[in-house]
Amino acid sequence: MRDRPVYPFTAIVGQEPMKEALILNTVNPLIGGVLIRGEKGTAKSTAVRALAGLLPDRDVVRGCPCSCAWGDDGNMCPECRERASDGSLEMETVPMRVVELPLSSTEDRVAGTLDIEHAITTGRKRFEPGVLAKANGNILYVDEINLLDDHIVDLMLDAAAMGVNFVEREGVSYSHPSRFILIGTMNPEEGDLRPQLLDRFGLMVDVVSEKDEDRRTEILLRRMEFERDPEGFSEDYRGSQEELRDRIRDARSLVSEIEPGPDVLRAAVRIPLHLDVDGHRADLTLVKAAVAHAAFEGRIEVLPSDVVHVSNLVMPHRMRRNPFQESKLDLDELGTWAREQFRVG
Amino acid sequence: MTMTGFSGIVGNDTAKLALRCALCSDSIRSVLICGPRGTGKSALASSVGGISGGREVVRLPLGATEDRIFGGLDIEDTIGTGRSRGGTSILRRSHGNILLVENANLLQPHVLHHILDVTENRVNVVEREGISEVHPCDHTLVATMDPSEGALPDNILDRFDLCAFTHTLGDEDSRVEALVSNLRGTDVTGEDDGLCRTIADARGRCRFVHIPEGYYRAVTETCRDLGVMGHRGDVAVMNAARAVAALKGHATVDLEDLRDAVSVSLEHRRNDLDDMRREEPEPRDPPERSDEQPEDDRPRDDGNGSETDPGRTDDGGDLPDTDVPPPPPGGPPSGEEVFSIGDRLSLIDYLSLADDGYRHGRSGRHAPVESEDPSGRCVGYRMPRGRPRDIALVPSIRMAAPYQPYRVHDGLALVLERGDLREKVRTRRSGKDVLFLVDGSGSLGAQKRMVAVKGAVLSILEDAYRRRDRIGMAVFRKDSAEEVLPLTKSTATAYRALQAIPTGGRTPLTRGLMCGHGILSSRGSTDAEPVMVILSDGRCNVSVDPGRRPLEEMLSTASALSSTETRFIVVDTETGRNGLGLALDLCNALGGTYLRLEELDADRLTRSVRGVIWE
Repeated sequence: MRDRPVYPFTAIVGQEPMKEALILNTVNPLIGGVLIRGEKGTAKSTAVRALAGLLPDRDVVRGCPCSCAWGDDGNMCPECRERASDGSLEMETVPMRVVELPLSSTEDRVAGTLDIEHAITTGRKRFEPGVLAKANGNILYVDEINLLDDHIVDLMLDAAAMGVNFVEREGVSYSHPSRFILIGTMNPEEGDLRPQLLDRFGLMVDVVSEKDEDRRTEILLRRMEFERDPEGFSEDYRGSQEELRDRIRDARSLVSEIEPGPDVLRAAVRIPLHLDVDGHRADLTLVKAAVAHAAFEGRIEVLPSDVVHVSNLVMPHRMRRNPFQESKLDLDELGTWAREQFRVG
Repeated sequence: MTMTGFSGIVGNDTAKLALRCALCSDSIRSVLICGPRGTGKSALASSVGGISGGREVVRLPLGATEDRIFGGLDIEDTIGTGRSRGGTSILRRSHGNILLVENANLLQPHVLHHILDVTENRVNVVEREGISEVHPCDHTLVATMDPSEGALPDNILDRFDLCAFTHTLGDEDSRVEALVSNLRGTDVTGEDDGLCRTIADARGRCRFVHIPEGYYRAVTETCRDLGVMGHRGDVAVMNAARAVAALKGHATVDLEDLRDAVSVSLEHRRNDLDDMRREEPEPRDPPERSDEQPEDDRPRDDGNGSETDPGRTDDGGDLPDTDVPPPPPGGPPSGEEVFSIGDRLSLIDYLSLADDGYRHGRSGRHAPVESEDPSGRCVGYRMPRGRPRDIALVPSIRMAAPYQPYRVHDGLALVLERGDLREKVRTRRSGKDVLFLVDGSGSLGAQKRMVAVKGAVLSILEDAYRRRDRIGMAVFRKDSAEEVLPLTKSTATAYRALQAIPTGGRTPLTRGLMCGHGILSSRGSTDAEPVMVILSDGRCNVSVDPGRRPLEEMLSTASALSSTETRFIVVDTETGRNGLGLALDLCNALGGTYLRLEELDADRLTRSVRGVIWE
């Protein structure tokens, strides 16, 4: 069966903050993922799946279930390390993927566990990798993340925090790299996320359905067109898709060259202090996202204005909870304050 | 993730001190690092390996199964030889090393208890899966937790020798410093090595550090004043004081050492500030609090301890109890504050703080209940009761492993017999569906009542993201009853629905009961326990059947409902002394729990209802 084409990313009308958040994460995976909140039918899942078409290729170890990054010897899974010592590793270039974590997943499938078939047929222990292994180097996508069981969330957060999945289950002891970009979508009507989980997401965007009539019509037209002729539709967007993919690729190579200066660091500390946000993750994420933003703009220098720009994506979910204002970030207030503070336009 | 070395971590000096003490004293077995998210707990705990002089950090991940933690059969070995042999469990590997347990409050309580036992006794006794063995297990336990994820009971907290809190850095400069160290991963190997030598050196001297006699008294008094139960606290202070002194190169503990020791060993044991804690967003820094006591002691201990006059130490009894600060002004918000919906902000803040406690059973999550069907999280296994339904394959294989050489294989690699089979034990966090049924009639105080109820609904919902609960609300007034808030977990939905609720008219309580029952019984398939909280004075002046007397009809409806699976809580809103006691009759008919609220305010209502439902 041929894969059905995915709706092209560049064909998505509007929803600019969501698209930007996804792109920034692709430019710099260290930002820590994005949480997309919004009602049904606002192109959340479409955008995440469409992202697959823009992702760069990665060099990995051929045949490794954890798709260990090629050349990153310090962070390889035990098998690759063993194979590396006798020189039998081969390189393979594969596209980065979107790995989905279904809501019904069980703990053993997420973390990985004893390979039962192997144990029964041979009497020997072997580790059977789970979703966290597949997600290594890729995007881990959880739809309706607010409905996921707490203990699964805990496992995921542990791995995300360490970049390593430590497994101690059913007689097997194993650890493998598990670095992924976590993308979650949720409908807030169905319940809130634990604040601990919220804080782990680098960025957050709220999406709402398009109100403008012309744009709504445009969305409808494109969708109909795509459903009528997916191949032809995708072909129409091939040019813009390639352009964006190249831009992301160039930006990725710029990121490591960008060195944030003192004024950028100060801005990244003052915004969370001004908003009275707990913890230090906000500071760090502001800098990383600002760097990605500068790189995506093709600049080698990151400015305080980049920090102010990305704060719309970094800060909203870190605000203290307040049921009466639905913990909304007052963007206008922040914008005015930041312009005064950092003299940016 | 860039790993910063221990010395490169900015701030969090108390937590760093606690870890250094634990590494240098053989008598300090365990340290708990508490703090909100993103304040560097993990970074601190993980960096300990760099200053431990070659001791390895052995991690206990959250999803670990018990056979891996405590020890279990090694199937590979056992199938081959037919002899039961234990594998290398996490505890075995932790011997002589550092055992790191992150998010200790998310572990199963019995697992945490067992680990603390092993930590204290320095041996691991394995009696599992046909293995019976004892092995030495001398490790230092380092645990972390985020209190807002759930509390630990006092008896578990007390078993941690030391405990320290991590905080967000408040000033700009140190935050920039922390940011830089995080981004660039400052190389502090040199400093870490130096610290490592200091610790190794202190470790040798720690046991021989002298504690001046008078200090014993000071410590017991401090513990008493802080409401510390049991004697672990006293011992921990002394051990920590020795460690602090040894780290500084002192041969004798001085007052500053003692003060530092108190700051890392009593915060999790104190009980004096239980009510105050609720009003304080940040746990207070013990040194500031306990400063004054040792300060007062200073004249007595000036002679560096050895000459301390025991007679004068006895005078310690009349020392002012200055180390307990006066309760902060304000207290709980007064009733008026909650009567308008706009002002409820202060209350919400207050309540969510109260629930931020990291102990006293103010646990954020429900205790899991054993699940009867094969759903939920597998937490263990057991011999099947009757016919095995939900077979735990791997444990069954392990049970069969020792017998493989003696069984008839008939071409199979592994032969299982019925007696080998084990079934899974699963638990599930079951939530509750709480429906508030409120009298919206025009009786006196209807508005007040409504505001209080709205407040309580929202406050209870605040927790819904941590629990698996849903909250709903129905109102009866005039001639009917209606659902104003369908069962939901979303604060946003609730707030929108609750903004405008009309009041006034007569009191059709019977219709209200029927409406509430209808909502709770049409929830579809769910295993959440239905709870109905009825706010009423028990009056009923409209009947469903025009031929019946309203009150009599209401009571007979209530008796009929008492046999349903719903739990009832009746909150009597009748005010004044000469009440009719109708709500009590209603409650008796329903077989529910009766609460009386003379002064209606959301705060009390929330606490009482929470108390009845969840505790």
